[in-house]
Amino acid sequence: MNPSTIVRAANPVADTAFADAWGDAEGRATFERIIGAERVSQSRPHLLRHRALIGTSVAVAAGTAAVVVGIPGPGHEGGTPASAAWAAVPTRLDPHTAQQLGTRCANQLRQYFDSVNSVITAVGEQRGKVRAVLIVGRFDGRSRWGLCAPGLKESLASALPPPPGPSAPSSIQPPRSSRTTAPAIAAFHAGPARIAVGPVAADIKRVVIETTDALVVTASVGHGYCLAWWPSSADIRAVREYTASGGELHPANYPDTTPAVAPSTHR
Amino acid sequence: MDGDRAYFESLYREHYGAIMRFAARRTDQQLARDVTAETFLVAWRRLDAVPRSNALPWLYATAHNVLRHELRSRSRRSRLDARLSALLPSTNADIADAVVDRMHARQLLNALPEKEREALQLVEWEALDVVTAARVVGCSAATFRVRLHRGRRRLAAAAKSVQLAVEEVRS
Repeated sequence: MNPSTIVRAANPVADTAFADAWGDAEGRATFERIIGAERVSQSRPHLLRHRALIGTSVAVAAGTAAVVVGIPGPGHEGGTPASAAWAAVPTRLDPHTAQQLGTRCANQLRQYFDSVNSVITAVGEQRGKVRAVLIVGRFDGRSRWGLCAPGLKESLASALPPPPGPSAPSSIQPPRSSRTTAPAIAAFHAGPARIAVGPVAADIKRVVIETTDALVVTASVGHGYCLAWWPSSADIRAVREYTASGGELHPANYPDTTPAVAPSTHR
Repeated sequence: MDGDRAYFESLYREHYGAIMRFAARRTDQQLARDVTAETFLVAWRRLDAVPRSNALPWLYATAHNVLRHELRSRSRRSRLDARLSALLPSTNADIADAVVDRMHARQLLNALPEKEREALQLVEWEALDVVTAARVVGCSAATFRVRLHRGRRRLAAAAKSVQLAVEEVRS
C-alpha cells in the first residue's frame, strides 16, 4: 500500500458524514445555542467577563468540597447597585429566557463541564435587577453546578454534595422521599450579598430561608436544587421546606448545617 | 444584526459538516461536537475576523486550536487514544477485512510523529492543498511540505516492514 492509501484507510469518518447541519440531530440545537450566546465587542473586551459561580461534587470527609473558581465582574448593572429593588420572593424567569441565560452561562463555564451539551438549566430567577441561573452538569464522573448572576459584585465558589438521584444531569430526579436530615444548603459571600445554593428532595416545592438579620427569603426551586440570595452578609438562621400540599418538614436550624469547608472569595 | 445572523447561518450550514468531520476524525464524537460548537461560537463572536470569501481554512485553523486546547487542558490524551482504538465498523461488504485493514492503517499512522501525521491527515482526509493546510497548522508551506514528505516516507517504510514481517510469518 502506498502512504496515501494507508492514510485514507485509517480515516474513521466518511466524507459524507454530518453533511447536513440541519439533518444532524444536534446541528440545529447547537446553532440555536450559539446564536443565543453573547457577541463580543472587540473595542470593549472587558464585557466578556461575567460573574459566575461554579461548584463540583468532589467528595471529602466533611461532605463538602474545595473551591473551584470564581469569575469577577462589575458590581453594578447600569450604575444601579445589585441590591436595588431586591425582592424576597423571586420572579421565575420564563423558560426561554432561563434557557438562554443558562446556555450563555454554560458557554462561559464550558471548561468546567465534560460537555456543554449535557448541561441543564436547573433554576432561573430574578430579584430586582439581578437575574441568576443555576446550571447543572457533569465533570469526570461527578456532578457539578455553576451559577451566573450578572449584577452581583463579587463571585466565589464552593462545592456542594451532589443532589441524590441518577447521575445524568439530563435526568436529574431528586429522591422521592423527603429528607430526614437537615438540608445541605450552603451560603456564600458575594460582595455585600449572600448566595445560597443546595440540593432539595423531589417532593419539596418551596424553600424559605430565614437569615440572622431577620430576612425571610423564598428560594427558587428546580431540578433538585434551590437558589436564593439576599443583600446582606447575614448567615442562614433556618431553612423551612414545604411539600406541594403545603406541609412543612421539620425546620432545620443553622449553623448546625453550615458547611465545614469555608467558602473562599475570588475578587 | 439580521445580516450577521443570516451570514452566520449560511456559514454554519455550509461548513458544519466539514468541521464536524475534522473533529470527529481526531477525537470521540462527543468531544467533536463540543469542538465544533466552540469553533462556530468563536466564529459567531468574531464574525468580522472570518474571511468572507474563503472561510473554511479559518474555521479549520480555529477547530485545530480548539481541539488542541481541549486535549491539553483536559489531559484526555490517554483516554482519547483508548477511544481511537475502538474504531467504528466499516460499511464495506467484508467488514472483518476492512476493520483489520483500518486498524493496521491506524496503527501505522499513529506511529508517526504528531506533526507529520497531522500533515498527512489534512491532505488526505480534509483534501486540503499544501498552502491551505499550512495555514491551518500555522506553519509555512515549505515547512508543511517537509512534514508531508517525511510523513509519507516514514509511513511507506513502516508499511513495508510490516509487510515483510507478515511474509516471514507466512513462509
